[in-house]
Amino acid sequence: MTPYLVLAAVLFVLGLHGLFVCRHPLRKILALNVLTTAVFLLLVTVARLAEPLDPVPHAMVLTGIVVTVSTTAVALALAARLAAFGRGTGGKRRTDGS
Amino acid sequence: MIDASIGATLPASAATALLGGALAAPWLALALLGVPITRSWAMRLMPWAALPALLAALLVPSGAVLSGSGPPTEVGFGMDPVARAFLLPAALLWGLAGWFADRWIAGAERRALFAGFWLAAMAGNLGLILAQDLLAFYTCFALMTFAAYGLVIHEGTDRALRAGRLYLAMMVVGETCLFTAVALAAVSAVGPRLEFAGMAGTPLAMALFAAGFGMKLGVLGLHGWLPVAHPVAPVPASAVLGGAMIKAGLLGWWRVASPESAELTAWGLPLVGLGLAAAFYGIFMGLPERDPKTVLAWSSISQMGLATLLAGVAVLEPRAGPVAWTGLAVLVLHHGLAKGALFLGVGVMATAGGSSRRLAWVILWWPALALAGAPGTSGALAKTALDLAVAQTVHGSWIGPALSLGAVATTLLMARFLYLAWTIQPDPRPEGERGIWEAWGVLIVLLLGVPWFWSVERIVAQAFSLDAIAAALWPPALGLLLAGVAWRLWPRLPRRPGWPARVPGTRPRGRAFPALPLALSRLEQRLHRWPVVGRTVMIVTLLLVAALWRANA
Amino acid sequence: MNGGDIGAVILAVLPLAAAIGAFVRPGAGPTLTLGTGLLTLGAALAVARQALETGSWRQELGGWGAPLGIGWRLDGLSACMLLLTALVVGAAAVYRAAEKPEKPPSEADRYFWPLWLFLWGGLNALFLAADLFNLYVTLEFVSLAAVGLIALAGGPALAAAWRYFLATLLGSSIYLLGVALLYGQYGVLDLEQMAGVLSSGPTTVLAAALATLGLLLKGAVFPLHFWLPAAHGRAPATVSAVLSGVVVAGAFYLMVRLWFGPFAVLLDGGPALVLGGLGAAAILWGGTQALLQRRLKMLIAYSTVSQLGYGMLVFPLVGSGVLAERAWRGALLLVLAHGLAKAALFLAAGCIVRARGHDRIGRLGGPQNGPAWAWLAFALASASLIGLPPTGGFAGKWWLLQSALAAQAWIWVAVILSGTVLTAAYLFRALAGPLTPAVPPVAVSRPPTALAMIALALALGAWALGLLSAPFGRLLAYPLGGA
Repeated sequence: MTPYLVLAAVLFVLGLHGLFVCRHPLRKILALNVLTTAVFLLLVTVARLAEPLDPVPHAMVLTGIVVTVSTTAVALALAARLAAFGRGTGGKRRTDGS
Repeated sequence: MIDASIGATLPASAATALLGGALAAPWLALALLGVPITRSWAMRLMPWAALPALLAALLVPSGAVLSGSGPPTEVGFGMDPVARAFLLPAALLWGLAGWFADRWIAGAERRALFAGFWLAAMAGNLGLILAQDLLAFYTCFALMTFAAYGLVIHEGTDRALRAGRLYLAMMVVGETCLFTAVALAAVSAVGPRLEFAGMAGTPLAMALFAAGFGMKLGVLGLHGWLPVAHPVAPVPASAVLGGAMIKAGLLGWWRVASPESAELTAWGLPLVGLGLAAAFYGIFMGLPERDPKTVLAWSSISQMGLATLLAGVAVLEPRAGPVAWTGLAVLVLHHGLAKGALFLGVGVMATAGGSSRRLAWVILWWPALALAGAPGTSGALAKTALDLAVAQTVHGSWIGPALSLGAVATTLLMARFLYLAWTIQPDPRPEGERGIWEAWGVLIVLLLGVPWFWSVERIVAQAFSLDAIAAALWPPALGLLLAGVAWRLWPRLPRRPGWPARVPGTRPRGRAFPALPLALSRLEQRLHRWPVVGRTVMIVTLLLVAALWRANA
Repeated sequence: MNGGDIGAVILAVLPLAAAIGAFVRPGAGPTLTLGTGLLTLGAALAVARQALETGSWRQELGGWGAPLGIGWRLDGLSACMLLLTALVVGAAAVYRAAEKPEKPPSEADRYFWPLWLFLWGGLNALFLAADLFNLYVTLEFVSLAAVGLIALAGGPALAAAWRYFLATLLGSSIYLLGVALLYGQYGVLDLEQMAGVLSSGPTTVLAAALATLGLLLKGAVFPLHFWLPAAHGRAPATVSAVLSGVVVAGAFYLMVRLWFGPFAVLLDGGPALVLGGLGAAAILWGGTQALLQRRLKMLIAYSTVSQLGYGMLVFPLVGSGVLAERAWRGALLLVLAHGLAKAALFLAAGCIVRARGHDRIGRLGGPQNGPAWAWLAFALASASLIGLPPTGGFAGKWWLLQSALAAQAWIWVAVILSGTVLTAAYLFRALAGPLTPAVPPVAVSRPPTALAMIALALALGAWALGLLSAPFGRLLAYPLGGA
């Protein structure tokens, strides 16, 4: 199971890097999604490692997916409005909020 | 004082009610001020809100208490000889200055605001005098201090605002010192209540108390706010600031230092030295000033130097304690009334016109001479008491003459003040003049009589002895002579002082380190950038992991 | 079922149900919210009463226990936070309802009340939840609603909302990673069960660090406060009041729950020092930045960064074990008093902005007929933040300082005191605003006095907290005994 754990760690760091370094809002959203996916991968691995198989992490991942879908929806709506506002002000404001 | 004979016939319930009334009256007026319907009526209550306190000072016997399980410890208010000695002048001054203010602020904008700050400061001042434990005292002290800020900046001029800023800066530091000291007392407290005495053995706590109270009293080195804040405040506010509020520092120190214990002996001589230095420094700095109210503020520093000296004498030798206490009580009463009369006198001189102005100036001589300690005035009484206290110590031989020299110098300063008061350009206002005159007149009459009736007979008798009169006569006489000579020789000096005193807080706008705020703002902006956030997140993670690892793995 | 249990159910369910109602019938939003507010306040009081009587207790929803069921844990601390939420969110809702909008209602305003009620329900659930994963869900709940509320303001607030969104989601994800690691190690999620089995080890250390990091991000603890000033400074006054007063305190609450619950065995030494150090840095840095601000709302927002640092001092001071009880009570009372006072400050600032049309401190001089009451509320709330007696801020700081003095921890003493001086400095700077000479043109409109009265009521609440510090101290005393 170690490869999965390593993969989860790599994905998490990748997500962090993307969040901090990418400027475009869509890339930031994707980075956040990669981040949460890494956590879900870890949880599923944990479930598989348990003896006997543990259903609780699956329940958590399911809930987590619902949460992530909602957050992504909010993020997309927010990014769209931000872009519209940026156009409205003649693109003077930087849309990445930094 | 004449404490023992007071209130023997007053029923206990009446005493408690009077005590409660003294504490509650300013709050009641404040509450009425908050309601729009009663506001204009409540503003007239400024003089009357101090009346219950005055009655309490005259009628309530020592030992009457009011206590409650206030948070976070038990708090109590009550009457005792110390409280009475401070309450009488404070109540008189707050009442009469309130009467004066009622007329003085008439017609001015923001009158309700002034009344609000006035009543809040009064509530704090009266409360701290009656407080019987540290927490109650500290609470009232803080209330008074910060409400007085509103009085200082009332005029709203640029100068007043800058003075207010200096006042606040120093007071915040002072309050922080006191807060720490009170918390220290709470750490070692045993009973449900924070007793005043009991920290004398903790040098840190005593040092913090000294700094906090010294800041209020204007002890040398911590006096910076006094000559700046007093002159900018409206006249009646200056009167209560100089006459009543700065005494809170003295009262606080007297409460916590508990002169009966011998633990503070080492503080004695430094306090005496500091007091004497302040007594002369205040005069030296006050002489070249051109604003009569600033001169009075410097004179307060000088007079509070004498109070510091007495506090030093009290801890220097435990047996001098009671005598020093009597001296202090007389000094508080005399200085409160005299300084109040002088400040209000400036207001009278500024408004009176024609012959009444000349009359006012002549009357003004009385409190001025009293401050100088001329025979027959309350100042002579204070000086006698002071001499008696000083004579108790081994240092009496040199302090006594120094005090006489101080009286000469004070006379000079008062002569300077009288000159400046005469040169005030009057701005007669017919509508408010009458109330102003009455309040001032009553204060002058009280200054003539009250100290004599209120002091212990021994000191009165001593002050009327031929020796004492002779001893009290020469310093003012010499001082007046010197002042006359000076006026003859350099008639132009008073107009243009030789050495302009740089007053802190009045320098032009400008920052000492213009680059620093900018650099800090830039740094903050950098912290907001995403790549930098990434790095900070990493650093904090590493910090946490490292700390957890070192402690647990 | 005792009164507390019923109260807890009302607290969790009612706001969510009302949110759905407000979404379906937008016109009924204010009525539903105010009704919810009254009931919620009553329920919070019932929980507090129960907590005073019985200490702490558990409640299994529908009789389903851990791990699949949802359990709640209630005690004095959660009761206090629930009360704070009810008061602040309720008062801010009244403010919003009483406020006559300056511009005609837009499409976005429709969503205000549903989001508001979702935020409320999420906060209540956060203070009730007893297991690590449910806490994650409630945190997300609160974050999404809060982001939505900021974004509703539109314009420049959008950028602020976006930053807040990214920061808070990052925080949740990192927290969830920590939770996943903990679950992998111990196979439990419930806080109490976790406290029984947790031992130190590499995975535990990493998990604790990650969970804490996530909460530090959400709580805007220095140096991770980068999102807070803009988000709280640009949001409408009502939203800022709730975000600064309660939402940030929610993250702090969770940190306290974790570190004095399951992680208590790890706290000694280094970790307590690091957390306290971050808090100290927050006090000083936030205070300095507040002093440098030119705008009133930004000043108040930076003050939040600074004031929550006082809460963080709970870790080293309780950890030191000297007068730990007082440090505990003091820090938590400070957070409560801050919640009330800060909400009052933001609402008062809202009144001032309405009256003057801007909030640049240097240009607030001139006649104050409009916002005079708002300035009074501002002054009274400031007194509590500075810690003047007899306010709640005073009682809290008083206990905290005593603990530091008794432990002879001079560094913490110095931080507490210099933070006080800084607080006084920036708040008096703000209070000097109305006293400065007027800079023309001065446009003054008169906002409804009722608005300022709400701010005043909250400020007086912070004072009442000081006068009631004895019962609140008792209420806050329980969790430490259990941990």
